[in-house]
Amino acid sequence: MELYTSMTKLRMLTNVRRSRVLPRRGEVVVPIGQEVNPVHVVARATDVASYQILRAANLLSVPAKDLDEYLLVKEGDSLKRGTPLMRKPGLFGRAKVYRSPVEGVLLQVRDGCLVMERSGGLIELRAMMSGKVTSIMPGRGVVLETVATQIEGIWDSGKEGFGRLRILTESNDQELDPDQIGSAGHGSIIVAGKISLLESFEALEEYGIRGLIVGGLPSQLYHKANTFPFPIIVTDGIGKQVMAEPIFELLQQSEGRQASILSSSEKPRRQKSEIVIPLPTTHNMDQLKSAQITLTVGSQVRVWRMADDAAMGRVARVYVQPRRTKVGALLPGADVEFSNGKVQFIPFRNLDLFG
Amino acid sequence: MTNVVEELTLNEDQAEEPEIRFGRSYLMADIGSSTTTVALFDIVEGQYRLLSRSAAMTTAGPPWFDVSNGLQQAIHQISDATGRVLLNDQGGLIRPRRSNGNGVDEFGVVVSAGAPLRVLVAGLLEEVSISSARHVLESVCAEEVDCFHVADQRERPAQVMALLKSEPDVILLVGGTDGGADKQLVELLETLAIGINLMDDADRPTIIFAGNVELRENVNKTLGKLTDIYFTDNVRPHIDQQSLDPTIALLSELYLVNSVGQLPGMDGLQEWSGFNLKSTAHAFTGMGEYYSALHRARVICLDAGCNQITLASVEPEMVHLTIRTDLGMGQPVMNLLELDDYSEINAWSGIELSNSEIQDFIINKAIQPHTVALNEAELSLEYGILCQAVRKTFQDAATNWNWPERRLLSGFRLILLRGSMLASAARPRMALLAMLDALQPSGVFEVKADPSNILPSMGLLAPDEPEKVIQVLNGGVLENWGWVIAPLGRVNQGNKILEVGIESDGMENLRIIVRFGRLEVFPLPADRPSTVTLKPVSGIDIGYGRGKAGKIKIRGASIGLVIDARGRPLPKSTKEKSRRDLVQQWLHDIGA
Repeated sequence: MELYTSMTKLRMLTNVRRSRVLPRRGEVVVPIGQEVNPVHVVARATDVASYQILRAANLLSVPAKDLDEYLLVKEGDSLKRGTPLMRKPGLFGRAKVYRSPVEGVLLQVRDGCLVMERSGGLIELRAMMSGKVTSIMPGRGVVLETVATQIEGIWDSGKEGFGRLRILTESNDQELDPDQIGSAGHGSIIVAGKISLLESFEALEEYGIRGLIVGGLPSQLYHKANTFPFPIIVTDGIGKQVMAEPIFELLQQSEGRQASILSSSEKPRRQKSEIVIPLPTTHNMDQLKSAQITLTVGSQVRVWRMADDAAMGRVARVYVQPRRTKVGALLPGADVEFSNGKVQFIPFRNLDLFG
Repeated sequence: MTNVVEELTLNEDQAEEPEIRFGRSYLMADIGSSTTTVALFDIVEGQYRLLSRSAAMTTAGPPWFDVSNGLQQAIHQISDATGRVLLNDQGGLIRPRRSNGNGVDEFGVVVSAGAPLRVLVAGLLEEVSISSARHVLESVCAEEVDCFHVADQRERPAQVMALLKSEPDVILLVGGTDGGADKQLVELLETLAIGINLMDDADRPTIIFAGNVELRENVNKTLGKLTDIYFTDNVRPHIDQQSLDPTIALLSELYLVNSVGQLPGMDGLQEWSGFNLKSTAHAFTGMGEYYSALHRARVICLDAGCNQITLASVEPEMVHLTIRTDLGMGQPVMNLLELDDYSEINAWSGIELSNSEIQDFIINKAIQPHTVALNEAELSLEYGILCQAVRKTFQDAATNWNWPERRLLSGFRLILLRGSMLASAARPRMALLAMLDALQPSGVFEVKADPSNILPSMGLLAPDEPEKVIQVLNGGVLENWGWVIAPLGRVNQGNKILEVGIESDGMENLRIIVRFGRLEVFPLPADRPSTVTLKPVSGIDIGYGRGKAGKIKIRGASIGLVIDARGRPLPKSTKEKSRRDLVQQWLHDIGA
């Protein structure tokens, strides 16, 4: 029987598939098979719709049903600022001409209104990671694949970025010291065990970092996180949590490599926040399909909501039938042995498997 | 119920003859947003009984994206406990039951895991048709994403942009009394048409028109070519008359099709099922109706789930239902971050925590909603949050249901509890106290919990197989926590408010003087009935009228007889420490 617990991808060498999708319909500009780098534009669309709705019949003081008689444009016509839209003859042969206030397209003529779409800025969807285009969603986006180190986060600030990895704390549980950042932080993705001071964030901004990977940050900083220009990804939790050791170790091994912070997204299918560190490899992508990881005795697990820092342990025994937790809840789970030798029964709901 | 014949390619060892029996066995699943529960019912000594139940994590999200994974894990647990193989090697359900005892005859599923429907309400008057539309939304798993009405200050362009931004699944269009002329509603149709026209085909919302019947043709003409439209009875056919049920039924159906039906892996499960899909909230409320008919009295149903809180007041001829998708112990807990002040939560929890500690907890709980408390402090905090959420649900519901001014919960016979923090609580007494604190009910009533999480499944089964449901319930699947006596009225603190006599065969009679402000618990013998006599002092009402005495016959229960003489509303000290001390005292008194 497979025991499902929460699972975090923590893979040193794997085949990463990631969808890159436009926020609105547009055009995919790369073919299948194209190798891309993070700055490569893979799809474009006009900016999120900005519409101008003109109450045209009211303006002309005519019934809505008669508006067509006065129109000089039709649905689908391109408009420049100043393009004549309507003409209403007046007295003594004088006519009044109404001109387009926007540049764009006339989308609809409806109920006495003209609906115009403004030509917005262009949305350029970048690959944000190195890889190969393996699939195209016409008008929507692409699927990229790459052989990489992959680490899932639990929360991100909604921004994305890439840069070289720099580890700024010596251990997974060390607080970032703002004085340690220095100019070498410029253009890098910074890794820190934990951050609890606003000053550290301000220093990171000042040095122009490209992204931040952190084990935990307090709720006060969580609220401010999206005001910073760089992307932030949290690997372990909000509050006093520190980075899980296996995550820190894997990031340490990747120091100096180009990494991407990719934000969680809902469409087309929910994708979690993740760190992708492409690796030069001769491996065939198809050979790197990750094996299904299941919880068994000996599995390394992270325990959610442990009060102290000892959140990593190994499964010592599995209980399929419910048992009492420390506070009395009756749930199936496992005995977990922590590095300090302590063994505690933890329900499956609080176990997280790295796989 | 439809009997579905499943075609299976069987392995040699599975190819036993189906067993021919009069009784059919049932495997019922409840897919919640964090937990999937499965229960197996079959005949034991001539009566239907719950044979086994199990729970596993719901696997609708990453990395599985398939609800059947968690369901199969739960089914395997049942096989492990009973020795009865229910799934074949391919993970399919073995049906019907085989002569070797493996397999099951019927499968049914109730679901609360679907995301709430995003509904934009459009209509005329906020206090008339819009108000009726909002009553409809309270009874389905839906959230209002915007509202257009005549008093809306926004011009048409702003409304169109708002429509695009709100990305509704459904537009609930109401307004106008039947036969009336509604020029403004016609204008609103045009606004909606402009907005819908700007959406991609796949993103266009479904329209439900529940307004003036005379306008149906207009609606169809204006919007019919743009998107799907359903016409149903006017929610407000006359200014002083509401007709909500048809719209509730339609929206509930849309929720099942558009939200639940789209859960990954759900299509496969529906193929297994011989029952129509039902939402957990409605199936649970259905069981409230069953108990209400049984006792010929009002029954309260409370389900504090992960992504929603359901509260229903069910009388034989009247059902009030509120489903709050903005409150719950999972992701909706994030809504509490909007609070400026956490003193209420702090007070209900009975422990002292800083605002930042509470906020840390809230965010982590929303990120990992399936997790449970592993230490005392977090357990207390969870109950503090639960109290706050249930209290808010009740207060809003009491207003919407037009309950009397004081909004007191009284005059009911039974309260049914569901949800992992209530019915399957690590400490039932703590959960009982949380319920008493949040609802602050008065009168004499019984409390039953559903720790096995089977009431919704019974609600699914009940319309077709009522006698089987009765047998299963008679088998004792609900946990009878006990009876609560909560007098209404005040005397001086510490003065006598009630005299209680307890008589049980073979035991010494008890006579208890209950003093105002106290919370007391008396165990009851499990094996025999007890007669409880209640004599309130003058001016105090225990549900029989002021100062009137009463007598009840009750059976033993896991907690016993709880006398909650703390007064209604509960005393509130303005000092946080005093309130925390009070809560600690109550926790001690109830034995949590």
